[in-house]
This record gives sequence, structure tokens and C-alpha cells, in this order.
Amino acid sequence: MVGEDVITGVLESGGAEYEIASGFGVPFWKKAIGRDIEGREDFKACVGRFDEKAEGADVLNFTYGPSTGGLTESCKFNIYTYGERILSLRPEPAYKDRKLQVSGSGLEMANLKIERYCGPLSPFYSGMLTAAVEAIMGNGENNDLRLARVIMNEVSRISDHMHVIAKLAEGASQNVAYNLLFALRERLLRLVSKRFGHRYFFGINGFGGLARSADFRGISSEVGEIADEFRQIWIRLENSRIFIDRIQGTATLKRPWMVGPAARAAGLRTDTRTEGSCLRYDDLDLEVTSTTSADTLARALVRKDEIFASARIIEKAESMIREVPVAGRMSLVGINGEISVRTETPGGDSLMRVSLVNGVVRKIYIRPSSLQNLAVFTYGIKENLLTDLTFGYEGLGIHVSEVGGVL
Amino acid sequence: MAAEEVPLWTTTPVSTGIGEAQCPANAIKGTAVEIGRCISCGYCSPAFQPDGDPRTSIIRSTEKAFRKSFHIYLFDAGSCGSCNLEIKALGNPYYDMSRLGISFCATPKHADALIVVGVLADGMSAPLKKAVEALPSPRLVFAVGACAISGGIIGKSISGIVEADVVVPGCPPNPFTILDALQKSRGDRS
Ligand code: SF4
Ligand code: SF4
Repeated sequence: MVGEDVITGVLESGGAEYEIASGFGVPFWKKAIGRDIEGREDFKACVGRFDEKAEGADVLNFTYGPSTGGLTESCKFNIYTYGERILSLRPEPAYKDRKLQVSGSGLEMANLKIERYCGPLSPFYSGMLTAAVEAIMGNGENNDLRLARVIMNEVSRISDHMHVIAKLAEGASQNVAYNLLFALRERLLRLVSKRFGHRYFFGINGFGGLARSADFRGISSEVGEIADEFRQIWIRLENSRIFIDRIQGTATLKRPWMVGPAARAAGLRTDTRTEGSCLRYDDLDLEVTSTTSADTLARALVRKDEIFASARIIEKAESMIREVPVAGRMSLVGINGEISVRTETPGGDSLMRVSLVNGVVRKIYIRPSSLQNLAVFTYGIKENLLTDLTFGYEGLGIHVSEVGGVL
Repeated sequence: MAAEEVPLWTTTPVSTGIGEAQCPANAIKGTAVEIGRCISCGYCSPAFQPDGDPRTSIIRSTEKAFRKSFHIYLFDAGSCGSCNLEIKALGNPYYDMSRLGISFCATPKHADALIVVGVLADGMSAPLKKAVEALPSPRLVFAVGACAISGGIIGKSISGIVEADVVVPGCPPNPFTILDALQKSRGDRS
């Protein structure tokens, strides 16, 4: 379990900075930051400032990025090595920081921007913002809306997990599996497109209801077929020595501040969906899987199991859903308040604090899971070989856009 | 391509004459939509409805030298990550761009076309300039997605650094639209 003294975020409020020092339940803030925490590994993990270096006569500093063919998103890595083994690695994720300006936006515009904070995870982030605003407005939970949001999140989780496993297969030159997995993910995106009008759920989540109607009928059987096909591909993948050899023992790390599949792969049974999420999962038969070897293989195994778990959650949610409200344009003028919400993105626990004045965003703070996962990569890849880089990085499902934060 | 496979809200919204539309991206001009500004949000419904045609790209110049072999380099100037994934999707078996002689390359030095996504983040200005300079001739530059084209609702477009030869609207554009643009940019039929 994550202890209370682990720093999992840093928050500005009223002109002062506070540590977010909890892992479970409602996050709480404690003392303003002092210099004493600047060197702490968990502090670096939650702010994304890394000063890892290696020095010596024969140490080479390779730079990779910020833009290269091997990376889907721009990020620079400084790699210190004698030529084969990675002595140290220092990521610089800020190159593509868009300084996304949300403060001062009306709520509908803020929601559109938050969807685009990290497009592949849009239902998670817009789901947090809409849930925060609904809570501030005192709207009681609408069960159908909750279930609709659960389904959207879990479909996105399957898509993200499949992408991660496909990238690992690609890195290991398992081209048949890679192509099958990418084709399967394409089917999932087309299913989303057909039912929601957009492949990444943009424009769907509204305040108090969906922004436009969507078709949930039969979604679980289509997702279930995709999950079944995924199972067949996985069985062949896990029988490939080449695949297993590349990811077993790679980027091994176990730390109390880890989140998501990385934490669960290290034996930490933490999952925001079981506690503290802005979406209730208590009636959806959520099973939290964990394993202990804390390497890229263990993370892939957790993601694999979560694909099936998400398919089951979608089935249960669809069986319970009745009529999902469509919000239309509701008045959001004059809302005031401040609240924190959390969700379990595919990469792990993410936190959002929303402060509103007169229906306008005063400040939104986000502590995303990709920050922690970038730290897992930074510390876990030490002593691995240069050829392990791809596996260590891709196995964590890091979204660089998510690292940037919002203003 | 079957019509239901196209994500509707990435295609051009057309006026239905029903009610008033409010566009958060200022893309609506009277009864028309400036498609390069459209962020595919669907907020103009029911006054506008998408026409379902993914062939929305604007081709400003073509290069026939790339008809047999076309190497493209994805450049992320400050994206949300979705445009990147839609471009990468061109390699999956559904689109299989390699059957058309199109492939990704690992550096702009080997590229026929630079495919730029995202708004122009401050930190990516210098790398984008370098990437454009590194392109051999002949070459094409694509602005893919509302962010790269107009800045969308997020930030600045890439036009301060480079003028795009090919504009691919959408947020994100769907892979059919991107593939269609790649084909047209080398003088092939859609
Ligand atoms: S879809 Fe959104 S951005 Fe595009 S025209 Fe309609 S309201 Fe404007
Ligand atoms: S155009 Fe849309 S999908 Fe593409 S990077 Fe910008 S916000 Fe993301």
C-alpha cells in the first residue's frame, strides 16, 4: 500500500504550493514545499524534473529525440552509457508542452480543451471534469450516466492496453502479432466511431448528461468478440520465446509511489476504481489483478488481464444501463466551488482539482499517471541494455501530451 | 470504404437550416464551415450535420516524383496524441499504406514528406525548423489536424515556421482522409 508520506503530486492553491501526500481515498494537502523534498525520488516522479546523469572518462551521452522516427510523441532522452549498458537516463518531456490554457475558460470550452489534453484518454479526463462540476453543482449521481461513462472509459482502457502490447510485439519483431493487434484495435476504434460519432470520444461527455446521444445497445458483445480474438493472439505471443525474452527482466522497478499497471505488476494492489474514483465501480464486479516481478513482462500480463476484466465490466454495465440522459446546453453560469476528483486511467491514478468562479475555470490542476510512469522508466531502465529501451518505454504506455499539465 | 466506417464528426458539417449553431472554434461562417478550423466537436448539431465524406483535404501543390515510392516522417509539434495515432494507423492491415508504396522513415533527411501534427509548442519551434531544413528536394509538407492547420482551440498553427503544401482537416482527421490526402498529393486519384 502507498504510505501517507509518499508525495504523489504538487498543487498550487491560494498562491502557495502544497504536497499531495496520499495514495488512496480523498487526497489531502500538507505543508508548503520546502527545499528538503526537491531531491526526493517521489517528488521528481510527480513533477517530472529529472537530473539523472552519469559522468566519467568513457561515458557517452546519446541524445534521442525530441523528434525521431522511433517515438510516436515528441520527447527527448539523454542516455548515459559506456556503449551497451544504460548507466543513467534523463528524459526531457517539456519540448512539446503546449501550455494548455484552461484557466479563464467557460466550462464547455474547458471541457473541449480537457478532452484534447490527452486525446487517447479523453473520456477519462473529460469524465473527471464533468463529474467535478456536477459535484460542485450538487447534482446527485445519475446511474445511467455513470454506467455510460464507465463503458466509455473501459473501451478506452482496452484500446490503450492493446496499443501497448502491440508496440511491445512490434519491438520484438513479432510482426504477425503486431499486425493482428493493430487490426483489432482498429476494429475497436471503428466500433466507437459508429456508436459515438468519433473515434476518441471527442464531444461526447457533457455536464449532467452526454452532449449527444450514443448507441450502447449490444456494445458488450462486440467488445467481447474483440477480447476473445485478443486472447487467441496473446496465447501465441506468450509462447514466443523471442517476445518473452525481450520483456522479461526489462525496466524492473518497485516503488511505493508507482501507479496503475506498473504498481500492480509490482505487487501493489492499488486501483483507483476500487476506492476514491469519481465513478463508482462497486456493483460492476471489478477484479484487480496483480503480479510481483515488476518488469515489462509483468506489466504486459497485468494489461492483458485488464483487457478481459474491462470487457466483463462493459458487459455488466450494459446489462444495467437504461436511458442515458442527453444534457443539451445547460446553464453553467454562476457556479462556484473547488473540488478534487480522481480516476484510474490505463496508466494509473490521475487526479484533477477543479476551481470555479462564476461558472468560469479559475484553475484546473492535473496530476497525470504518465508523470509517474515516466519516472518508472527513468529509474527502471538503469543497468538495462540500449536495446531494451523500446520495451521499457512502450511497456509503460506513457502519453507525453499528458505530462504537460494545464495552465 | 463503407460509409459507416467513417467517424462522422471528422467530415464537413453542412447547414440543415434547423436552429442556430454556436461554434467554439469559430469555424462557422454563415451557412458554411471553414473546415481547417473545425475541431470535430459536434456542438453545431442540429443546425449542421456532417456530410460523411472523408475527402476533405486541401492540396496546394503536388509532387508526381513520389508516385511509386513515398517516404513520410511524422513530426509532433505539440499534439494531444490522437493525430499521431491516426497517422500510425495507416500502417495497420485495414489501410496498409505499404501496398501503395508509402512507408514511414526514421529521419526527415530520408523523407519525401513531413507530416506535421499538433500546435506549435514553444519547445518544438527550433526542431521543426531543423526538420524542414533537413528535408531533401523535392518535398511536401502536410499540416494534419486542426491544431497544425489553424491552432484549433489549443494554440498556434505551424504557419509561422512553414506553409503547408497539403492541409488535412479534422480533430483528428480519420485515416481515410489522411490516406486520400497522401494519394492526391502525389497526383494519384483518391
Ligand atoms: S463540429 Fe464543432 S468545430 Fe466543427 S463546425 Fe461544428 S461546432 Fe464548429
Ligand atoms: S487536431 Fe485534434 S486530435 Fe489532432 S492534435 Fe490537435 S487536438 Fe489532438
